[in-house]
Amino acid sequence: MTDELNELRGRLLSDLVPVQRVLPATLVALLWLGASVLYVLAIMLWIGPLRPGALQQLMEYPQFTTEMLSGVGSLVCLSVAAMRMSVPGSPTRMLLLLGWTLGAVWVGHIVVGLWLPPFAPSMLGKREWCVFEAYVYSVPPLVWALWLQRRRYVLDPMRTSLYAALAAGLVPALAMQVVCMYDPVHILNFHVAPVAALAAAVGAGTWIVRRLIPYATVREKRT
Amino acid sequence: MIRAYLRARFGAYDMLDDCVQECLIALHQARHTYDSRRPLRPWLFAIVRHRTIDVLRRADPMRGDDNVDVPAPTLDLDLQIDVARLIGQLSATLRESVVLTKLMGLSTRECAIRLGVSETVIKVRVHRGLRELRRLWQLESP
Repeated sequence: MTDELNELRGRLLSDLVPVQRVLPATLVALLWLGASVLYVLAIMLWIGPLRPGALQQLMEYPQFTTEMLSGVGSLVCLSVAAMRMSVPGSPTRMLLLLGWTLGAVWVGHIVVGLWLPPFAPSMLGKREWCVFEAYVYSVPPLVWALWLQRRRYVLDPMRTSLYAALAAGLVPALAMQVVCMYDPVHILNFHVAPVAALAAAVGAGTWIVRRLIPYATVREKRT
Repeated sequence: MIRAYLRARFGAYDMLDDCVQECLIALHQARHTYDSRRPLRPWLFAIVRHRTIDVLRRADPMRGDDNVDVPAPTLDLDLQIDVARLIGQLSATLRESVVLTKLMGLSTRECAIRLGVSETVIKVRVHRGLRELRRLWQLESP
């Protein structure tokens, strides 16, 4: 028995190859974010031009600059946190705290803009289908993010996919700030709401799938 | 190490071996995510904790029954883990009786046969065990 066991051990050990470690989650998140931003901006500029004077507004109006910076900061934090969640035991608490705080500051700026806008709201640069664009453009980055997460080891699929959806939804939402018309009501309804809707849909979808799979597994085992 | 970790929290459960096995498989599947520059323990115990919760969910007799439409239990999973951890602090004799009757669902008679003692002894042990659990619970509650 001992000889057989030793032989088995020997056979198992002879085929061993070193485990190829995945790239660090933070690096992957930043690469994903960079590529997603480039993709979304490219497709948006291909469909239509930038809002006239958008870059000038970004430089001249501190309230608008702060709004954009907080949104971008939130996007970076949530992207890195989403990717880190796919590695067991990775610290995400501070990133999430910072991400949600900056996200709240971003939405807070838009809400304050309902009464005190940084500059006069106008229809300049309006896109007819911006709400659909916000959804459609976020799908490829979302699918890519979920694929990247699955290549690691996800312990909490619902939470992980929800943050991936938030990050993927934020990319077109923030791009719309400089591409589409500036009106806080329009932004909240057609640029920010799709982010929440996408995250809710993906989170709910994952939850349903997770609820169904254990039952299927149990049934399979019993039969 | 995993066995000791689970035993300290759950006591002598029958499904302890299942948990350890699931954790070992999970560790094997997740080995490519381990970064040797980071501490091992958070990585290891994050996997162990989540896999144990999965095993607990699957082992729950009230779920996944094909023939009987039984409502899912409303017991919070964290609470379940807390209770299991408190049970781990009981003495071996009290823990056996409480786990067999209150968690595994055995009758007093079945439990007595299994442990080779009288039914009265089981009743006394369960009573003392529950009283001890209540005391431990109150000590931990703020």
